[in-house]
Amino acid sequence: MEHHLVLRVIAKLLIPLILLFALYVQFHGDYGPGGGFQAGVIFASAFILYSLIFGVGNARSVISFNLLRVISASGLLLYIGVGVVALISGGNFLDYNVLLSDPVHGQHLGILVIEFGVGMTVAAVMMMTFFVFARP
Amino acid sequence: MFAVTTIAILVAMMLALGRALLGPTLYDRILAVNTFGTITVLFIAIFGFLTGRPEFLDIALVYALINFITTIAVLKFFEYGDMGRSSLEQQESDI
Amino acid sequence: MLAFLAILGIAIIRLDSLFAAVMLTGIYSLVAACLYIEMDAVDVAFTEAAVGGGIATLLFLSTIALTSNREKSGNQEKSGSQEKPGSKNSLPAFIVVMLTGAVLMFGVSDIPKFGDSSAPAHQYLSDRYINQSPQEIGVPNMVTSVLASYRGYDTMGEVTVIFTAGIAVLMLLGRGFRSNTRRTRVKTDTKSSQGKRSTGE
Repeated sequence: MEHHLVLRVIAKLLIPLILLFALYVQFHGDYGPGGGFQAGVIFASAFILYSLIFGVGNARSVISFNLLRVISASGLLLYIGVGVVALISGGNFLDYNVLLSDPVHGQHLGILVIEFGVGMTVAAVMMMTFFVFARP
Repeated sequence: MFAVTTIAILVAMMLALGRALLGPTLYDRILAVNTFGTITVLFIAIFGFLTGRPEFLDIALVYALINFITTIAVLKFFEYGDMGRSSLEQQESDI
Repeated sequence: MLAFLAILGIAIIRLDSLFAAVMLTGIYSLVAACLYIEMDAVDVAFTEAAVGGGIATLLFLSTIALTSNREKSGNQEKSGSQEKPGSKNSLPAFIVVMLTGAVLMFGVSDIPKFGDSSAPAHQYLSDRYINQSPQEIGVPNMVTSVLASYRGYDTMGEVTVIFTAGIAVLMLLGRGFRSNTRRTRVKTDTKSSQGKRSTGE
C-alpha cells in the first residue's frame, strides 16, 4: 500500500490512540465495562491495523513471533501464578483475600493482576493467529 | 426526543439490512455492512442516553474503531486478494 | 431485532458466495450486539464488538484468501452444508435436524421466562452476588468481580482454551511463512483450524 497516503497518516494517528484505549479498557474494567479479554482484542486490533496498512512483514519486525509466543504463555502463567501465590500464603487456590493484609485490597490486586494475564494471552494469541492466517 | 431518534435509526437499520440481503453486487453488500456499522455506533450512543447510562459511549467508540479496521481489511482483500502483503513485497514476488 | 437475526441466519445459509456470507456474518454480530445492549449486558456487547465484529470477520476473510471464494456442493463449509434436494444424504440429515429441534423446543418449555424473578438462578446466587460483592470485593463493576473472583477458576479455564487454540492454529498452519511446499497442505487444514478457533472464542 504505497500510494495510500491518507490511510497511512490516519493509521499513524490512530494506532497510539487504540493502544491507549486498550490500556484504559484493561485497567478500567473494575469500574466500567471491559476487562482483560476485550482489552486484549483491542490491543491486537491495533497491531492488525498496522499490519494491514504497512504489511505483515513490517509488523513482524515490530513485534517478533517468538516474543508473541512467550507473551501468550506467560499471560497464562501469570494467572496461575497468582493462584499459586494465594495457595502458598495460606488461602485456597485463586483466593485473593490473603494476598494483602486487607481482604478487599487483596481482592482488588488479584483481579487486576489476573485481568492483565488474560489480556496478555488474548492479545498475543489473536496477533499470532492473524499473522499465521495472513501469510501462509 | 431520543425515542424518535431511536425509531428513525431502527428504520435506517432495516433499509441497510435490505440492501445487504438483496444487493446484486458485492460492493452493495460492503457498503451495507459499513453503513450498518455506523448505524450501530449511533444506536448504541442514542440508546445509552435514552436509558440514562452514558458509559455506553465506550462501546460505541470500540465499534467505530473496529468498523474502520474491518472496512480497511475488506477493501484490501478486494484490491490485493490477500491480507498480508504490502505492495513493495508484491513487486518482489512478481519478479 | 430477533426477526433481523432470523432473516440474517437464513440468508447466510442460502448464500453461495462465501464473501457475501462473511459480510452478512458481520452484520449478524452487529445486530446481536445491539440486542445485548438492549438487555443491558454491556460487557457481553463489548466482547461481541471486539471479537465478533472485528477479529472474526478478519479471520474469515483471510481464510477465504487462503482457500476459495465459492462453496463446494457436498462439502462441509463454514456456512453449513449446501445439500442439493436430490442428494442421497438429505433425508436422514433432515430427520436428525428435526428431531434435535423438537428436543430443544421441548427443553425450552422448561426454561423460566425471561426476567422471571422467581427463577432458580435469581433466588440464591444473584442475591448473594448483588448484596455481598460490594463488601467482599470492593469492585464497582459486578461482572468483573463475578468473572475474576467468584468464578476465577472458570476464567482460568477459558484462558487455557484460548492458549490451546492458538497452539493448535500454529501447529496446523506452521510459523506462517509463505512456502510452496506447505501451501497445498494448508488448503486442506484451514477449515478444521477455523473450527477450532471459533470454539476458542
